Amino acid sequence: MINPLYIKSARAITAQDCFNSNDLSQASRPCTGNRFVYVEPDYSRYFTIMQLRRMSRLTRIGLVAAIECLKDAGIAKPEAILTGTGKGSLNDTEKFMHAIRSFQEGTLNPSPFIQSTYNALNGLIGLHHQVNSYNTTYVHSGFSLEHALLDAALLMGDNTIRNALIGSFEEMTDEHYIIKEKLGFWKSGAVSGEGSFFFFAQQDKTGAVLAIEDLQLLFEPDQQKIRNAVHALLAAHQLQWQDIDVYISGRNKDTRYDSYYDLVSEQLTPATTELQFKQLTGEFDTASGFGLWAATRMVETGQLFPALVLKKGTSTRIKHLLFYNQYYSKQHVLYLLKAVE
Amino acid sequence: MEDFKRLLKLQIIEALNLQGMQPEEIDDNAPLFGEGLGLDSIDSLEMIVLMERNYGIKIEDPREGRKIFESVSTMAEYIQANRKK
Repeated sequence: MINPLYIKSARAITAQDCFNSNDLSQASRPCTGNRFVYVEPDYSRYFTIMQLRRMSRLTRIGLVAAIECLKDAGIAKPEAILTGTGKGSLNDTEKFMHAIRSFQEGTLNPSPFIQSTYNALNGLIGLHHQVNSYNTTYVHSGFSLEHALLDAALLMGDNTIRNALIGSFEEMTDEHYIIKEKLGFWKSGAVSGEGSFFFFAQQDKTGAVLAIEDLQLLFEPDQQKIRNAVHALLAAHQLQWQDIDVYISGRNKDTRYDSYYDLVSEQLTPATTELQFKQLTGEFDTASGFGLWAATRMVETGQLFPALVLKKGTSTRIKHLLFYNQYYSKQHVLYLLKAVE
Repeated sequence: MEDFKRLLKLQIIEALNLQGMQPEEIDDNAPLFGEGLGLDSIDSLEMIVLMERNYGIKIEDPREGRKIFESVSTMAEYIQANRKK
């Protein structure tokens, strides 16, 4: 069990037009060519040409999401900046690697190398907000965002920090899409996606919207372990299945992994509304960020996002939320969330 | 020489990702670093790469680089005198 993290604000930039409104109640954008691609914000509102030239596509997107998240929370300087990413800025990684090959490991451009590092975005956020406190990026595939959240919970648990900006960021490139295609990532129904998410979290519930009551990480579990983990999670918080108002699942249409999600769905009572989101975002290492963003925004507005509803339940409140996501059967995460009253 | 300076400005704009900037906006004799275009130390590394890839010129002494990269005019003169391709 973790110390609760209280989320005060959340921002998302995805393939859906959800950034400016911080909402997803409008009609959704379909994917093209088996890929969901970012709807990019208007950068001229945030940066000069001289600033933009040093920023990759992904650092621009991530920094804009971070800026708006802090603005929403009314915070100028967070006490920590914690992020997670599966692959970081792939565009610049590829540019740098191509240059190594093209120029026979000779003189290489520094900018793509700088941008390709996983913590480039964290550095930019720190520079932009003049924050030189704790600043870390976790790169753990389908556990990346969750490690950032866990670190924040630990730091707040021992009073090292009182708040943190926490986020995740991911992009897809043409080349990486093909690599993953060859590895069989898209062969059974999953669609490629990308998304950046930022959350301002604090140890105090004042002004907060949503509490992350608990977070469980399971690596390559068998189905019985998942079943046990969900039951244990609910029991630890004195909850019954009928107490769960909303269940958010990371189903990604990949038929190889439906059975994992079925394990939880089968336990739900008629009270629970079941949501899924990857039909609008696609699959990526840190897709769980979308589930957490959607949960925060739905609790804050008191409205479910209609485009996510798979099965409507009888409960009319959005108080207890269970969120389960897994990444290609390796990393499984369970979130227990609660509206802050 | 004027045509070469224009070409060099285009190469600088591309190498430094100065999106939206036109060659006419860069003064031939204005300082590239600090004042003028306002470039910094990472830009100087990008310019070293530009010189080596486009003209076969290797700049290994940073003090030498400081003089060469003073302005577009000083760069153009140095390249014309030392280019290997």
